Amino acid sequence: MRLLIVDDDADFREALVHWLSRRGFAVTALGEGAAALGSLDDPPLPDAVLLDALMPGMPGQEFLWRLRLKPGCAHLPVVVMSSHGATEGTLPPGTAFLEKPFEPEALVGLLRTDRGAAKGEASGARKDRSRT
Amino acid sequence: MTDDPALSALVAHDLRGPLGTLLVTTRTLSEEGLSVEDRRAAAGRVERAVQRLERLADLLRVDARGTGSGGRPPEPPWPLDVALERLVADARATQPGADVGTHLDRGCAVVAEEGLARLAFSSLLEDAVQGRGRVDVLCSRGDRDVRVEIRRSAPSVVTAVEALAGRLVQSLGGGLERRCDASGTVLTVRLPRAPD
Repeated sequence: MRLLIVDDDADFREALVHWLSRRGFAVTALGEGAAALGSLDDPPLPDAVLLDALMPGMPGQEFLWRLRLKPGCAHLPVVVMSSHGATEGTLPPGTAFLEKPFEPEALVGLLRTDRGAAKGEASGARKDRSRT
Repeated sequence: MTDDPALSALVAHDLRGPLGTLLVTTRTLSEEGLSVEDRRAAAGRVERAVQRLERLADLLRVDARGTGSGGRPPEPPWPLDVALERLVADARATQPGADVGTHLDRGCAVVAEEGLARLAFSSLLEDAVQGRGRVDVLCSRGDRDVRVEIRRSAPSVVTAVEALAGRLVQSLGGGLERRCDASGTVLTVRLPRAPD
């Protein structure tokens, strides 16, 4: 499964890349929205996008709006990762939500759900921090 | 914590970001089969996340305490240009590989409580070097004040650290302005200059 991570926090991005790569995901990670949108011009498209809500230059909401206008991306599953709680109804269809900090296992579970992100399974696991 | 809703939101963001890094990285470190390089990179992420949280805690503590002079005697002049040299070196040390340049006029002593001013500037600098791109620090001497510009080649969002450091600067009798566009971010800090 191919993933595109868009987050301006370099350390968080690197941590996620490492975690997800070890679980078999093919991950591309970028620090800004404009570059991430540009990367979608070249196939293959990712199977899902992990998007930070608060970024300089192009906020997550604008990224989402522009993403949906790109060819082939209208229904691309997106997981919005935010430090602020999502208000029900503010996220467009096909968008899931995880509040930082979240269990990385929860993210993997969401991604491996049958297109969980596309179903908009918002934040169900964000408080589930059972330590093993 | 703070009665300013905007600042509270920034604090939540600045807390949750490094906590997210810590949570994912500690899960990574608990796994088998990590290379030495992976462990070293993970340790670096943990260290930087802890530094971000410590910086925020320091600023929140000072902000909550208040910074009124309380009848204290006047502060001796603080050589800001000299202090900035050291603070830039410290900020570089926290972020190896950071691209930081300086242009510091001499004779830029300011009237400010040294401990608070040092905390404000060290926070602003460390916050800046943790972002992307180049950082330039300029210090210039005016007739009545000293101006410090922290220029970042990348646009950036306001962080709680920046907002709290800005409040600290204002409490010292100075000011902070922020400009951000596609070409980058410029923070301009002013503090009253000490007489020669």
